[in-house]
Amino acid sequence: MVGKGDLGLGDMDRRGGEWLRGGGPRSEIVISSRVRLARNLAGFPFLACANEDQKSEIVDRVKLPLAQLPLASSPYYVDVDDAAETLGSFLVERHLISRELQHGRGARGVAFGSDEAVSVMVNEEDHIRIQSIKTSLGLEEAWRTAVEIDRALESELDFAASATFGYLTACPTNVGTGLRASVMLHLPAMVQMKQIEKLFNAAHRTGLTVRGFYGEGTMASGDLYQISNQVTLAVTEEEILAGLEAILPTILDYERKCRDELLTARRVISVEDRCHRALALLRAARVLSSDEAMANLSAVRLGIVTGIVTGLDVEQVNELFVLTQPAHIQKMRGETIDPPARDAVRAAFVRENLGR
Amino acid sequence: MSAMVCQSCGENPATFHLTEISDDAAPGMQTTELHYCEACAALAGLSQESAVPSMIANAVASVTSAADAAPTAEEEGLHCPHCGMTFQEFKRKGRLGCPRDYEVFSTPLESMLQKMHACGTPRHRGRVPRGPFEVRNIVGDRLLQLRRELHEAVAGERYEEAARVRDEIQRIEHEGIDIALEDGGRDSDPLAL
Repeated sequence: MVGKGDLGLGDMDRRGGEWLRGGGPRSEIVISSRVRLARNLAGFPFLACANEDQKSEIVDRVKLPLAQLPLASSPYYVDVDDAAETLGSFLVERHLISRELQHGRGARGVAFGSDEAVSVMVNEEDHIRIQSIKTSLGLEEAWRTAVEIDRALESELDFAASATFGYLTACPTNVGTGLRASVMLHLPAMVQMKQIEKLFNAAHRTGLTVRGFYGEGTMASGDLYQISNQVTLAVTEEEILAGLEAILPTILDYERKCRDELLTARRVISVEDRCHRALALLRAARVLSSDEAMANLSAVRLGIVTGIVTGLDVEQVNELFVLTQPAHIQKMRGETIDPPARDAVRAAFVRENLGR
Repeated sequence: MSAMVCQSCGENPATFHLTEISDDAAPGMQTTELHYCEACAALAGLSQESAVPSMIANAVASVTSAADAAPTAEEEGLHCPHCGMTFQEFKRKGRLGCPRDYEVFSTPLESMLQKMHACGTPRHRGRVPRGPFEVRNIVGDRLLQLRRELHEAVAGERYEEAARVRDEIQRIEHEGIDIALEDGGRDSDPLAL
């Protein structure tokens, strides 16, 4: 396990986690599937009432079981309270930690495997947040992994729970199963055809929530949307997963129909133009902001999955969604650089990656 | 003076400035200055009104506003002996103070949970941890109580008492329910048998 700072994170800034790999079921639309479990230690106050000593004690308590987790890849632990601002942002950009953990106070950290399929945050909103993430459509697999991690931790730690309310969480919106299941979808055709409200309508009808690429309150940068369950109590875990899976065919069907419509004779020339212009821009730009990169990568991704753009694969673009984020660009350079310089580094990195 | 840049993304101009005061109302209060752009402020769950993480506060507010606007006298008085949280404080912060709060606030929480989770009876139906709940809760409650005593002893610089409580915590953690029963739950028939 790695201790503090950004020691030993290797070449993470130049490759994406396994969940960006693509190639699995429905990968033309579904980027990834994620399951999160919220847990708290019995006998300790929740974080709103925990003092600094108690927060440290919780971290100390959890660290050893974390080091022994049955992970498929070598484990890392980062003390987020000691981490530099850029490293915190870097972990947020990779979806390994939340903004809340990054900007929290006191002893807190994250453990994850080098393939980034599993991460466990300590002292975020709850004492423990287990995250399991798989590429493409793989909710069942993500769930099985999360349960395995949960059981491993439970064999060493007592979790706060009651017969009536299940797993007890700091916020009552998570109580019961503590389970949040989500899928990340790439919906450029629905956005382009101005049909994206159908996603929101379908989600709200079935008690699901829609968020952007970086979760709560984020814009759907790159036409990427996360859809997840809201209800965690008085349902079983299987029902939560089934509820999310049940709505997916409808949404995937909307997106496919919109893609088909874009490829009709009447419209195809404008879509081809948009995709090729986006690729040309990414291959030529000398200055590239994060937003411009996301918007054009989204168009290129649509081009790849519809056969308009050839010679590139989806994984490259999925990775670039993450690798072109601000903290990644800075980590790549190994120093803090101001936004104009960062835009130049980003442009060079994208040219290098998407070069002919 | 050059425009301040958002300290989170480092890209956009910072338009949101917040001085955060530490929750501990200690002498010489600790303050932290935050300078974010609008997007990162929203991301960090900050709003102009307060530094309460917005998602949770909103979720709680959305189910506590309309129908339950005025707290009942009973709600006003609810107070958890283990963590010190009052029900009013929970409604303001959107987060509970300790696992025990679910029992202490169970009456007003029930209707909130029904709305949040769109359910009739807010009763758990999912997986459960190993071991009987009663044992877990007796030990957990006793440890919560002792940790509060420890916190108060340290804060009051009563170090001998603090050392004694710390030993007691360790003893219960190693020996479990028998000790917890012997000490904290002897007269209350905690197993309700």
